[in-house]
Amino acid sequence: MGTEAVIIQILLNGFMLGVQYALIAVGFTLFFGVLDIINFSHGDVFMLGAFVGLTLINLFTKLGWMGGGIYPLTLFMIFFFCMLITGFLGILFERFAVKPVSESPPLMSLLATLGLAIAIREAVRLFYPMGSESKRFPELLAPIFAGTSKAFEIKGVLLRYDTLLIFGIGVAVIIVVSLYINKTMIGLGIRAVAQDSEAAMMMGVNRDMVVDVTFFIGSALAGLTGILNGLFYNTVIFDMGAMAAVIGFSAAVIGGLGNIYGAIIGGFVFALTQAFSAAFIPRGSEYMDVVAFGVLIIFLVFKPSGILGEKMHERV
Amino acid sequence: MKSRFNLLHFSAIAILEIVIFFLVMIFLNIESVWTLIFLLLAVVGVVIFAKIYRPQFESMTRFFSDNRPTVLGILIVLLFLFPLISPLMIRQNTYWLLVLVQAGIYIILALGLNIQLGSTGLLNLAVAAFYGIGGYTAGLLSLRLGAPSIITLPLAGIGAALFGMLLYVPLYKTKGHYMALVTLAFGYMVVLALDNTEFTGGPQGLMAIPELKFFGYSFLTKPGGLHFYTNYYYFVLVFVLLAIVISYCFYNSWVGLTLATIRDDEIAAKCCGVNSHVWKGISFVTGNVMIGFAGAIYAHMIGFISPPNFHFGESLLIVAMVLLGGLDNILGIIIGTLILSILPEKMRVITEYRILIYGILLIVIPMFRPGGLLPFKPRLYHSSVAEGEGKGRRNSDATQ
Amino acid sequence: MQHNKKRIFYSKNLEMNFGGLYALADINIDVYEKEAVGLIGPNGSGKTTFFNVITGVYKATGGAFYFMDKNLLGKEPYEIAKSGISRTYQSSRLCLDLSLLDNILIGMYNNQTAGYFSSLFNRRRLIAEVRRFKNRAVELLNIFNPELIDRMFRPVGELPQIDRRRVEICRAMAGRPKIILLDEPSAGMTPDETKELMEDIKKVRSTMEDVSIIVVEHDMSVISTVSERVIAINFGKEIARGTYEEVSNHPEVRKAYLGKEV
Repeated sequence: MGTEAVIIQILLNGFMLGVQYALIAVGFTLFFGVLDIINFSHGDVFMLGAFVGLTLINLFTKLGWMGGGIYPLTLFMIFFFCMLITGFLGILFERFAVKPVSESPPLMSLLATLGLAIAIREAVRLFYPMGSESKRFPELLAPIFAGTSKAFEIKGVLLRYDTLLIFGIGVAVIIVVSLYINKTMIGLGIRAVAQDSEAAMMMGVNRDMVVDVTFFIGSALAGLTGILNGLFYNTVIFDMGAMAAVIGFSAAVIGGLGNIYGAIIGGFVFALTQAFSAAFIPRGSEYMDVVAFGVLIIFLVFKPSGILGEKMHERV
Repeated sequence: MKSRFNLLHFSAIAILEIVIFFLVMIFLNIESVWTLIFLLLAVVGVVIFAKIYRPQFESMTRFFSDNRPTVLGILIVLLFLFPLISPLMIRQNTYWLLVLVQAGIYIILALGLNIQLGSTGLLNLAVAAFYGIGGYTAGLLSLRLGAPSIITLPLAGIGAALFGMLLYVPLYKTKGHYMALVTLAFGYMVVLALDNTEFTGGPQGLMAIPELKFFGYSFLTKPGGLHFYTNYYYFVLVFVLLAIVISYCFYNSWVGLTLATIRDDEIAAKCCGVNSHVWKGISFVTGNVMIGFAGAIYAHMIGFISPPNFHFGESLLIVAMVLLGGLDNILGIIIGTLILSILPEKMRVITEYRILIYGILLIVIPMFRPGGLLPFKPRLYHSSVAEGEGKGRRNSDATQ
Repeated sequence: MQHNKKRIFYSKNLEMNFGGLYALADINIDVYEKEAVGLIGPNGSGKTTFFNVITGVYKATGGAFYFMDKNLLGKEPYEIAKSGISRTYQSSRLCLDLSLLDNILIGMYNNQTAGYFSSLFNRRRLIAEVRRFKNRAVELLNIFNPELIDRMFRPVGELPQIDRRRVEICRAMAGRPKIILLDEPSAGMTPDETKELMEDIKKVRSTMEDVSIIVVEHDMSVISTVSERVIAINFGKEIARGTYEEVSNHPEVRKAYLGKEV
């Protein structure tokens, strides 16, 4: 491969992962906005998304809907119900575990959400059939391109249509969500609560409702990302959420906690760091996460408020 | 001091402690789950009873706290007698000996973390990584260089401290959530690096790490026909006591006061003249020395370590021990650690659900008992400090 | 005005700029030994920012300030505290979970001699020092409210507001500073409590004769009883200075407080 091809390959990998990181990071940043909390269980909601998706696929396979003319509808239903279910699970977790601790000192609330993360992860390991083993995730998108050439080539790099579709779905959802937050009344409520929740409540914003909606959106995005991740790697496992949470949080911080565009940029920055270190550092594929976390730490030291975050003065 | 030796008090305490000592051994012998559940309910009953008959209960705890040297003295003697008596009393004696040694290692870890988390408010989510750095330092030194135990143990502590200093550079520049993220990322980095480096044995880890050996005495020797774990039991017991003494001394000193002020209000501390960056660093490194040291003991005893031993989940377990017991409360942390390290071993049935239970505990403690099992205790420095003015201590001590 | 006394503190063109917003612009304040200066001004006029700048909590963006003829600009809070400036806060910054005694003892941080290793290997020396410091704390509490002595080992969080403020003042006095900065001591007090507090501030001066005080206040009665000299600022700029009568009748000051010409 020529240098161009290598670069294209790296960018491709970076963007494919970046869109997933961005989707998770958006959740972190939204939750931080409305509740001032780092919700570590978010990574495991992402994992739940993958398992809910898998369950739906199994269900639809049993019903015999996974083929023929109905297939596009089934596909849509998988995505739709997965997002719906994880969204409501998100509200459930928020009501019973996240919001009750959001007023405690940051250290306590962080630990509580870490506890929730472990509880979700272990519940899947223990109670999902054969939960401790990694599971194959079917290639849902491939059948759509059954009749076509399935891929095209740029400078010697093979680009698969179904892989590009994963990216496309991710980008489309990101655009829809940012439009929703910027253009609708509910989005305005979310932004108002994030700015100053007391002032927002005085202005008649129903904070509890806004928090619920925020958790619905964030969790649904994570659920969708779970499926996308399953499609990308063709395998899912109960502890995939741990790393996702750390990376998602890292991405949100790199972008600037509380800023939704920052989270998106942060996701791509993190993924591209991984992709480039995998390619250019000796034995990089093994050390890419070490490098990425190193970059994160350096970033936190020199620009703790993130790329788009505002510098805050502590009140005395 | 005014207290003289009182034979009546001494014998009352001795009898009570010996009874408890044997009850514990009987407890370790119990295998039926139902008996255990019954016992747990009984403990809950005692707690409720103590709440109802508070004055009587308080006079009892006061009796103990007034005779603290006696209570502790007898307790330590009993702990030293344990390996000698337990083979006669406990069926799976060696197994429980091992569990107790591991509980001891966890106590050292939890007390080390407490200096950081409890005393200073530094949430170190890389405890397990420093534990691993200690273990790997000791393992590599003895495997690759054939270093004797007397060198590997202190160097393990120093190794963890050096890495701690390295991490402190980014740590002191960050706050709150960001600080937690730095330690978290560092924890992952260490495990990933260990996993991928050939020098440290990669995913297989280090195997056949030699046992501890001091002045020609190998810890695999069976003292008087007892199991060789007995050596480790005594060794760990001594260092647990040392860790407790160190923690106690720090807590009841200017160091404890300074760190607590930084934890509760860093700006106020700074405006009183405290160089908080330096003190936080001292606290972080001190904790890491203890944590690294515990790692070395573990590596030598088990003889085999690999990256999964030091994963993030292990960090959370140690954090849960400190939180459950009560931040900055030494006795509370010891109790919390014993509960979380012995109870799961006792309840074989729930071993499978152990991690789930840790998770739920982490959610529930901040909600219902944010201070842990034993929260706030006034810093007394020394019994002589509370003498003279400020007798308020009396009614304050017992209510907590 | 104060020519026979020594000037111990002065600021020169002090400036604090929060991203374009001047919280302090060209502040020149001097303090002589053994005097009490009142600093007044409407909300957001920069009084508290002034305290935060001269204690090093915020880093001034321009100008300089000198204490005992040493420029302290850009120094860390702990260095400034060491040189002899201590303070209280508008919303009290005590460690509520720590005991009353601990909260006062930390005020004597700079006098500690028993450090890290003494706490492990030289307990005798440490304990002797703790007892000495505790006696000083008892002395201080005795001035303000002897009842507090009996609650010395109770958490500060249990105390009512006025006693918390007293503990905070004790903490500020404990290290025998040269200047004490009192940031709205009457904030959150009832009128009766405010009266008690004014007595307390007078007690500070009678106990520590060579200390200077800067009081930031809203409550004019506190300023008029406590301070000998008043400086008024608004929008980060000085608008008047002089005796209480002079300043309170100054047209600029009245305008600042009432929002219109009088």
